[in-house]
Formats: sequence, C-alpha cells, structure tokens
Amino acid sequence: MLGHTPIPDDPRNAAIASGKRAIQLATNAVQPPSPLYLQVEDSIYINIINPTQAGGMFGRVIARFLRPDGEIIGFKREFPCSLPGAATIFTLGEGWLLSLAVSIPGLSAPEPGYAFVFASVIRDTPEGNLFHWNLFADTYENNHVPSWPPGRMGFPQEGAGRLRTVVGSTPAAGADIAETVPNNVRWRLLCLFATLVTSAAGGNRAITLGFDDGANVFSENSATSGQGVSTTTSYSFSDNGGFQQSGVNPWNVAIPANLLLANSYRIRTFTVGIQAADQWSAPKYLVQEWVSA
Amino acid sequence: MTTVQCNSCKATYSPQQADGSAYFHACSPDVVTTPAVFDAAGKITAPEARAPRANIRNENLILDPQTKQATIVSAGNGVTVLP
Repeated sequence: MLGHTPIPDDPRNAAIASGKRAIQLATNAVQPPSPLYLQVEDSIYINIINPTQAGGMFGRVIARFLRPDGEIIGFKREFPCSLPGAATIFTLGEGWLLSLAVSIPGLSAPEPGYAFVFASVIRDTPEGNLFHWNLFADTYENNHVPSWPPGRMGFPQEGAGRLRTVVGSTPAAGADIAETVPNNVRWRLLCLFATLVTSAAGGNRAITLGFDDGANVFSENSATSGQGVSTTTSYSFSDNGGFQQSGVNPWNVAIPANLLLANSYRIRTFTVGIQAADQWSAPKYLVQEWVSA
Repeated sequence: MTTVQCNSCKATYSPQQADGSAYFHACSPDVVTTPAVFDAAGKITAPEARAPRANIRNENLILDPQTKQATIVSAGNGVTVLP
C-alpha cells in the first residue's frame, strides 16, 4: 500500500493558493468586444473562386453580429457558386461584427487547392466597392473553413495545392495532343502518359513534348529515338532527372522538374512525320493544382 | 459519363472528370495540312505542313464584367454529344 505523508495543518504549507485577481470584469455598460464597428454604409463582400470543381454548389456565410441594443444575432446567407466562382455583397446595419465564416456545402475538398475565399468590408462611397478592411483571404478545405477572427491572409498559390489526375482530349487521327491549363488555376505538371499508334505510312515519327505560354514555346523534350511504322508505343513523361529510356515500352522521357504552368499555358506533342491515320490516345496527367486568380 | 466530340478539331473528351472536376477542352492551335513525305529509306524528304486551325473551340471560362456571368472563351463549331 502506497502511503503518503500528511501535510501538517499550517498556513505556510498551503500547496495551492489563489491570488486575488488583478483584473476586475465590468458587468454593466460593457464595451463591445469586437474591433469591427460597422455603419449602415458598410457592407460585407464575399468572393469565392472555385475554378474547376463542377456541380450545384453554393456559398454559405455565417456571422454573429452585435446590435446597438446589445442583442447578438445570428446571420446566414447562401448564394449560388457555380464555375468559376461567385461573389455576394450584403449589409448588416449598424453594430459590431463578432465573427464571420464562409463554407461551401456540396464541395468536398479533402485538400487545399479546390477553392479560395476572400472577405472584406466595403463602404458605400462614390468610388464604389473599395476594400476598407480585409477580413480574410484563405483557402477552403473540408477541415479548414475561412473565418474571422482572426482571419488568415494568404495567397491562393500557397501550400501543397490539390493533387489531381486529368484525362485530356483524344485528338483526331493525324493530330497532336494539346492541353491547356484552365483559367484561374496554376499547375505543376508531375507526369503525363500517352500512347501513339502509328500507321503503315511514312517512316519513323519523332516525338517531342513541348510547353508554351499560349504563343511562345519555352521547353521541348524529345524521345531519344523515333517510333517506327505500324507500332504502338506509350510515352511516360516525368521529371525523373536525366533518365531517358527508349526501346522499352513505355518510353520514358524527361521533362523539367517543378514545371509550373500558369493559366492558358499549353502542353503539346509535336510529332514530326505524323501521318493522317496516326492516333494519339487521350493524355493522362498528374498535376498539383492551385487556385490562381 | 458524357463523351462529346469537338466539331472544330474532332477530338473526343469528357467534360466532367471522374472526380467531379470540370475539364475544359481547347483545340490544338494548328492542323497538319499535308503529311510528311518519306523516301524509301525512311528519311523525311518533306516535313509535314501545318497551318493555324480556324474556328478554335476553347471552353475555358471567363466572367463577363457586366453581367457577372461565365462564358466560354470561344465556341468554335460547337460539340456533338456521342452516344
């Protein structure tokens, strides 16, 4: 049996002693806790950028507002949020904004990079829609609902982004692959896989994967040998350093590492010697995606 | 999933990916007008001729600043829904 030594009954042996509070809390005429006093000329502006996730979604604003009469009211506003996003403006009247959060019911976002939310106070001035106080600029994720306070101020291109596999367009026979980075997103291309079936016509096809900004080609990456007639060859393009291997299906072709592509940039094959009956498959590619708007 | 064919470039694609995300087709900017010519040894004697594609379809979305409605960049010749 574990024993213990009783503490002698002596005021000097008090193990826990609460000191008298230095701060006294008022119970009458308490000042509002929020620094954000709003007048009737002030409005809340909410902008949701949702560039690629389709479906009938809506934005939901939840706020707590302290009226001048001392009553705290809850506020909820919902608005449609179709591609590529939506904005709403509402006025709460005179009082103090205590908290505000924006969620996107219907959007399953297990990681950041799906949507970005911006909230600000604007004022009814002749200039119109001037941002007077930014509440937050934050990425949306299932477990990360942008809210104020404290209100995180960030950039949509921050963080890990979203990992996404895209199945692109199957070109017509005799045509090359061309994929375009969607508006309002930024991609990091991790790898791309596609197959070319060549017809019996012509000779060896020389395969190159190139990147351009919509006009200017800034990178071309070629297979080390040509593909013969009447063959089926798959190409695996990835940032695997200098490793290139041709002759074993699939053929590995290196592309630049950490290749960031802005919206409207293009990913294209250039098949030198392509014939009318040659057929590229739909490219399948893995990207990191961020909202970028 | 719905598969459509672009009437401008004849590419086929699904406007919605398996994960629910949207796919925005955009035609390749050029078209091969004349295939490359090879000699008997398999060497190219005349490279293929390419020309800018006319009436490109680009489904990327832009917001109209007046109406705040999203529209695609260019419709091209439209699409045909495949059975």
